[in-house]
Amino acid sequence: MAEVYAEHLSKRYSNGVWGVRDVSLKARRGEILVVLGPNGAGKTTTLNILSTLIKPTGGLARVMGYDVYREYREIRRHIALMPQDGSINPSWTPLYAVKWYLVARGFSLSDAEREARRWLEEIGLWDLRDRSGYALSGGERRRVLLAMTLASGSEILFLDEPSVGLDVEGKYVLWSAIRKYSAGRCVIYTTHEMREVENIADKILIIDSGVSKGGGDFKKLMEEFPYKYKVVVRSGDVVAGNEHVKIKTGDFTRVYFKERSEALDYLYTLRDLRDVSIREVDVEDVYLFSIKGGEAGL
Amino acid sequence: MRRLVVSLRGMLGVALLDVAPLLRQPGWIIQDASMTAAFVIMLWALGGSFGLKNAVIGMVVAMIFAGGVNGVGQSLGYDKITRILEMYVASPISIPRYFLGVFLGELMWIPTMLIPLAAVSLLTNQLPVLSVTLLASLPLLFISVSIGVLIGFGVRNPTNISAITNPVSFILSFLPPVYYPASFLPPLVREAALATPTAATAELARWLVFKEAPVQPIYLMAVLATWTAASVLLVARYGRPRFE
Repeated sequence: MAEVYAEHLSKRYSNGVWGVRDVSLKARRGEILVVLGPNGAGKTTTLNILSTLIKPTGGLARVMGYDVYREYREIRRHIALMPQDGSINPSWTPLYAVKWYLVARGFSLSDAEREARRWLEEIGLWDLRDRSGYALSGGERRRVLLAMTLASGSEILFLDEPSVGLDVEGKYVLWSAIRKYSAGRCVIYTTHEMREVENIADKILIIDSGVSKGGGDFKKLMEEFPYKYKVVVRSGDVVAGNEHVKIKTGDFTRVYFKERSEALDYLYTLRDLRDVSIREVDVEDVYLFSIKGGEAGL
Repeated sequence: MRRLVVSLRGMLGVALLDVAPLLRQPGWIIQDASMTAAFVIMLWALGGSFGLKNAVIGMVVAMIFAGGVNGVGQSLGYDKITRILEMYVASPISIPRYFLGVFLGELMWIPTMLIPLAAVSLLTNQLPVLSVTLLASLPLLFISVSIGVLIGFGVRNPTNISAITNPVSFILSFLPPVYYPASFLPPLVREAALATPTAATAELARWLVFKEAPVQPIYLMAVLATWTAASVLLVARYGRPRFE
């Protein structure tokens, strides 16, 4: 059974704006589902519905087998959420915040202290445990929020763009902590950073304009992607009239190939080889195919 | 039993998160204590024993009202700004537990004003006035917290919260007869002024202290009962976070 399950989920706000139109997803215990999508795609709305903050307009969503609309109280016993753009009260120190948040969730003081220490150490904030929030950087404050949610030990964890504002090292610490946390638990994680997908995703879901555009087991998606190589070339230099599948991104166009030899052959057709590269396809290409679709013969 | 323990822990956790600014920035205590002492001295200097009694009544009523409207309202607003409120909602911390936790946290602020006021009252033999006013202010505590909850949960842009709670708290504590007796006002204005929960509470306390009132005490009780009933109904209907 999927711990988090949604089918044809939709949400229309009272001002008439659609948050999501048709989103379906499944995530099981032990999995990290990364929800990918451009800004305004509906990632946060999806997470807010699943974490019982907002009510869906249509479709079905169940968490731990409970309906998000009717049985939200049951769901709340099993979940924790790190909201997008959230921050701690600057009067809190990391230890104070995590410890008393856990007590607020019903932990005994000794359990709260033990778990607070464990997760502050895990995310590298133990040495700053007594530093006032005023003296913490934005990224450190975000990490405190993350420690609060991780320390909760909830069976289902919703993380809405948790890596925003973190430096490179901070992101690796975050991914490592979430990996450890996800053993036996279910994590739903939104982002638009492809590196994160490669580092932590077991499954991905791509959403665009409020609609699920694809997804599934991450490794399988990569294996089943029909192309293995891409030539990235300035859009003005693309050879017109051939049958290759292409996707335009900014000033550059990606031209896709099944074999490396085909990609190399393509290079010979180009007049200008400056700013040209051959690369293996990655998650970004899977994402772009889902969002934009490949166009052949342009 | 276990549920009760968990609920009590939950309230304590929320309360201590809420009251952190007070614990970590004791400058607030100095501000509140100084303000209390200053008001009492001012009214004592201007009005002698009568002024002192009115100062104690006014301070208690203003403190209770500000604690509810400003304290609770701004706590909820701040939890919205930091989005901690979303973390509380998407968790086993139920809305009543969160609400009671915030309330408990705000109660922890009260001693910062109450202790100096009690000290002054003790030194000037006004402890009975203080006790009677605190007792008379119990309905006001509920009413003010309810107003704070309604503003805190209801306001769409929480960064503006203090621009709403401060004027409400300030106007209703200083304009109507809270620090001064309602008998000072012309009869037409008097009853309207006494329809506010702050003035009705202060006048009720004055009636209990001085044994005289410019209106029938039943009118004051009816005013407070009406505000209490309205608070119950409105909080039951709107006293929860609205995310849609």
